[in-house]
Amino acid sequence: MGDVIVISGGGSVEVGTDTLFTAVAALARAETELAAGMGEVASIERLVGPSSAGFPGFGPVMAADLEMDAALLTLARARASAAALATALHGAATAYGEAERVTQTTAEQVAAGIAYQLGVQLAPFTPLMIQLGRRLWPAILGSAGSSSGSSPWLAPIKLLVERRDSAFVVRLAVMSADEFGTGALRLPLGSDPSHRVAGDQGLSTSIAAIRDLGRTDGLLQETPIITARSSSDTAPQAIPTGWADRAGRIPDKGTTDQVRIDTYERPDGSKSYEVYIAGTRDFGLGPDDQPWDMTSNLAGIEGSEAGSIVAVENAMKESGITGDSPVLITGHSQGGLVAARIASSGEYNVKGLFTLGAPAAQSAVPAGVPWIALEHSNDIVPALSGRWAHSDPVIVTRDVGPLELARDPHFFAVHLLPEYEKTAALTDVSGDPRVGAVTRSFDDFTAGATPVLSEYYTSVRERSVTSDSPPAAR
Amino acid sequence: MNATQARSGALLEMQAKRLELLAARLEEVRRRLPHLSQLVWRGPAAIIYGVALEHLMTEFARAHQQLALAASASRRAAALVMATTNG
Repeated sequence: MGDVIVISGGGSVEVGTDTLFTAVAALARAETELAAGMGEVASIERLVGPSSAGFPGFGPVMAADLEMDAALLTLARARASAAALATALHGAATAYGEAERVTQTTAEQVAAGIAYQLGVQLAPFTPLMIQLGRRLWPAILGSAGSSSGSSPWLAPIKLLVERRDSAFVVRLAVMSADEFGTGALRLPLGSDPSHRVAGDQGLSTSIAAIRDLGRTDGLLQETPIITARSSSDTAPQAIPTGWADRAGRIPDKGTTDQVRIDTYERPDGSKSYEVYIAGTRDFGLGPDDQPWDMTSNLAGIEGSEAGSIVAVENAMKESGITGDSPVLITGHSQGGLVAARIASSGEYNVKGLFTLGAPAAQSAVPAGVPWIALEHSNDIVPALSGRWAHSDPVIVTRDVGPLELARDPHFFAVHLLPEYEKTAALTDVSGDPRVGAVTRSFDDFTAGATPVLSEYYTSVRERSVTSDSPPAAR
Repeated sequence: MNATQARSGALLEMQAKRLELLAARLEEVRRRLPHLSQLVWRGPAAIIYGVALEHLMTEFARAHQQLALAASASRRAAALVMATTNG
């Protein structure tokens, strides 16, 4: 199961495994080749006409003609078989996609009703739940990446949060947060069913409410951001060879850098750029000096200005990226959310997006931007942004198997970059045409370009600035 | 007569060559067909899919054999025509 990727989105209602779509592509190619073969046999048959009757080789000529006629019939039958098989596979993928959509919609409607009732019943306990959430959230998610053996209670929680059902429930809970609030306030549940089906309207309202609540406690507060270039390399790596190579270039937790920007020189002398953005570094609710924190996560999902978005824009400006510069953006987790928000802002000439485990489902990225979004079906972080509502990326999903996760001692390994690098490697060898189309867009972007510079950037929140802090980049 | 026969012989040679090339191309397409071990479905659907795929493979094999026989017959015809022309 761990090596199976499922492809969906990308302007199609079809959902299926990579194997299925690779088979469909192979059968479609076979059908085209068989049609061409039939044309070729017909053309060959016309080479030697009946004028050869009476020639010494007449017998074998007739034998060849008969075999060619038989081959024509066989090729026609094979062509029909290939077409029928491809149609059947397409039909299966469409039916699966439709079934999944109906299941999801039904589950959302049921969850909305339950959330409303819970809101009504649990309203008196809301302050207690907020306090509990404040303590549990950083304790659980703050342990991401640490060894689950480091604390006796982490192992059972690891089993729980890395379950596929958990991500499904989180996605439903997020989509139903507004119904919970409606219930808690004892307001009548909206009678407009389209509101519940769309669901996402309530998401930004719910996050805004959580942020307001946090701010009264001095938490989840946005601050000015200071960005500085920490290092640069004038002999950079070669052009990335694929998705796994790009994933491997995202600054990881072993460094304080959050952003890497590679500059390419194109054959015409102009410049293009690839930006790599790190994931959440601090799962605490603040106050802290790290812009890659929960404050930025929530602000980013809500759609307001997040510290990490400002930090990336600072770095892009410092690298010389303007609104016209062609740019590809790759981001893990919060980095993917930032990438999607920058692409949706319309202020940059974003030519492609590659996100890994990003809670970016509420971003409205223009349909013309090629985008591959990797998600693990048992990763709760992408689920935090609810259902894909305004964008239609090619979504590559992998169910990281329990055995694979059991072998990895890291807490919340399903969300960490190494697991996503494995998914990226599987995407590299995918035969799916939707994946292939985005891959070609990225390849076209880098074709003929020469890497000339790699820069790394670190940003901090201004509240922690001391005389030793890095200088302001803007 | 000899010139016409020589031309027919050359055409039959060309026919054989094109048939062989086509047979080789179809073999290449057959090799790139989905493999039966790559499961697209599970359960009974997998059996139906497997049977349909196997049938398609058989059709490819049959077409390949027929093209090879046609090529071989064309070569025999070309050889006979050339032998008569030269003799």
